Amino acid sequence: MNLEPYRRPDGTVMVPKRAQTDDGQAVGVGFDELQSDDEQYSDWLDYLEAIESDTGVTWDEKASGQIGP
Amino acid sequence: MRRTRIWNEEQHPRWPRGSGDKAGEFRDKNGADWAERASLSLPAGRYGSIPTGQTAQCPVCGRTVKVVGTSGKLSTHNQTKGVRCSGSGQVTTETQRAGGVAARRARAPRGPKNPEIQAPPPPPVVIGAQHDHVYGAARQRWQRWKDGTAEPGRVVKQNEKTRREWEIENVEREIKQTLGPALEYAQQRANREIRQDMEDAGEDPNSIRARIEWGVRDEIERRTKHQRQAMQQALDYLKALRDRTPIPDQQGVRMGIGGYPRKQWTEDELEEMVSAGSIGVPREFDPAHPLDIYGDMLHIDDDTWFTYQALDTLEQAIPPEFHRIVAAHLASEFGSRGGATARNAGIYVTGTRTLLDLDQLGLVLTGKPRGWGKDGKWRDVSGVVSGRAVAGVANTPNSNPERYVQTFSTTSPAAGGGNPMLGQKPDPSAMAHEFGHLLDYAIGSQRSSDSVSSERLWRLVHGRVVREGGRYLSPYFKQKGDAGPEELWADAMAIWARGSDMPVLYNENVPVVAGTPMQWPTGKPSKVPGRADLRTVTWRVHALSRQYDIPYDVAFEINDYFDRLHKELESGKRKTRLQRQGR
Repeated sequence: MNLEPYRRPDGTVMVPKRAQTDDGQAVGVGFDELQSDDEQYSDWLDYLEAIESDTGVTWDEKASGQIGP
Repeated sequence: MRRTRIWNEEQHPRWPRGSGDKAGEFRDKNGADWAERASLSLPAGRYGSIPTGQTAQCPVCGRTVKVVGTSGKLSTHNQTKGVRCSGSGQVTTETQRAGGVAARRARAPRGPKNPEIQAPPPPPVVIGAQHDHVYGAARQRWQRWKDGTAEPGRVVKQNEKTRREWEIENVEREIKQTLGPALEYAQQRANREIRQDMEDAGEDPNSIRARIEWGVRDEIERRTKHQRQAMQQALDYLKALRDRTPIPDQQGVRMGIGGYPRKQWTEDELEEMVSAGSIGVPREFDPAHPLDIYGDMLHIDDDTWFTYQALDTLEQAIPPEFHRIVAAHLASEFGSRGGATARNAGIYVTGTRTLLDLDQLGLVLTGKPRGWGKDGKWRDVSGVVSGRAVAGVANTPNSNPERYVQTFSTTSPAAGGGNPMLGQKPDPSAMAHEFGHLLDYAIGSQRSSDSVSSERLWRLVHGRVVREGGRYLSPYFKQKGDAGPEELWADAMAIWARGSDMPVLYNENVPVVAGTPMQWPTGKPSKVPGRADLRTVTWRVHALSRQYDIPYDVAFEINDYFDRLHKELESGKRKTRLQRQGR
């Protein structure tokens, strides 16, 4: 599914989160607001920075060294 | 993928002029369309700092320097005499106060860098789709799905019933859950529109006299004609079933994608005992209609586009063999658990309600989801697998609104993939993701009672993805414990299943349409001396590579893993959990 984080108009960041019942019988996924005490907080910020700076590298640069004869 | 779609289908050279966005036959059916491919071929991200346009005073040297990056770091700068200042890269106080998340930058409008890029032709019509007008095709497919779920399929039913009793239950549910709300919504909308018309004409919509003169009642009836007809037909059908009178010949009413013509059962068929089949009951599997195998284990909650797209994803993207495995697994679980949890094994889809309204999930999904914030609620969860036997997918306002698969447009909010007035957008691929979790368990590990994703082979693949994944690898797949490998398995399975074996073509000027197939060195010795051993990069491999920001050889590894798994299951070389248990 589309698991990309996104920003809401109010500035809060929504990230995909694994949802689980306490007994572990039900496991799901949904979007929840990113909290500063999240154990992956810094990972998500780095990832957001990456996807929001997604403007450069040309096709040729990306493909260089990957193309066969 | 890391980007939203840049190309729109309407830009296709063969898109019928003046058709707006309704020329659905050029739309994507399985997600791997030309617009997607064209978008993906456009330049990827630049590695470097992002200018924020802000400055701050360096606490070390006191100079005013630029602030860069979304986390608000001081840019690299020197002190006097060209010595690098140790304040470079420090996070500024201001940014820290903002929680480390800078406001979103407005993106510059992006278009194709190369005007020579041309869209490839739309993909061929795939199994299950129809060649006629796409709206009609959707209705036909919808009817087929509904017919399929009206049959017991392979489910072991606890209470045997006649087909008549079964139909009565179905129609009652349809009236309550679909037709009733649709009629009510149409009446409210008509009333609202008429009031607006009256105000525009200088009439007072609250005046009884003005409303009588305007003919409001007749006008509402005229505007809700189709919804009333559909309701009346359902009531007539229900009455005939109950009174055991001949079933009226109905043409069906075009309303959303419901209101389909009903199947005309004969009297004999209606009196048949619908026994259930068990897993052992032979029923020919039709690969063109793989969802039939679920029978009444597939629960179609409403007739919204969200639900349509979820079913479309299931039918079009998942290999039939996988459906066979999951259906057998669900049938074996059906009714086996008793109590209040997971009694009705099956797949549940809803576009208008939440997971808590499906099956008995409301009794299972209590409290707050573990690990979620203080405001986290189960009703915000998009998809769940409960008891490894109940998969539910619901439309939620929290799903990422930026990227969603739209089969084609509709003017009806009630059928528009959730209610846009509530900000809801469809995210039907959650269906493929949750199906992946079910399949993961249904196949099972050969060495333990765990899922197949717990096997060492997959753990090695997962480890390699985490190690070699670039900055565009989502942290979601780096979770600790079993969570990371399990989530990657379900996600990668969905991408692998939706992918295409067409080679990625490459040409210096025209990267998508024409050129030579892109190839990747395997690192192994070639049969031809002096030449590198190469593999052709397919769109499936390319998609995996982009999704997890991994080199092509890691993407090939994932691709080969699922290829091999599928092949072994199909040939019977690998046994599923049920087969290993001798059931």
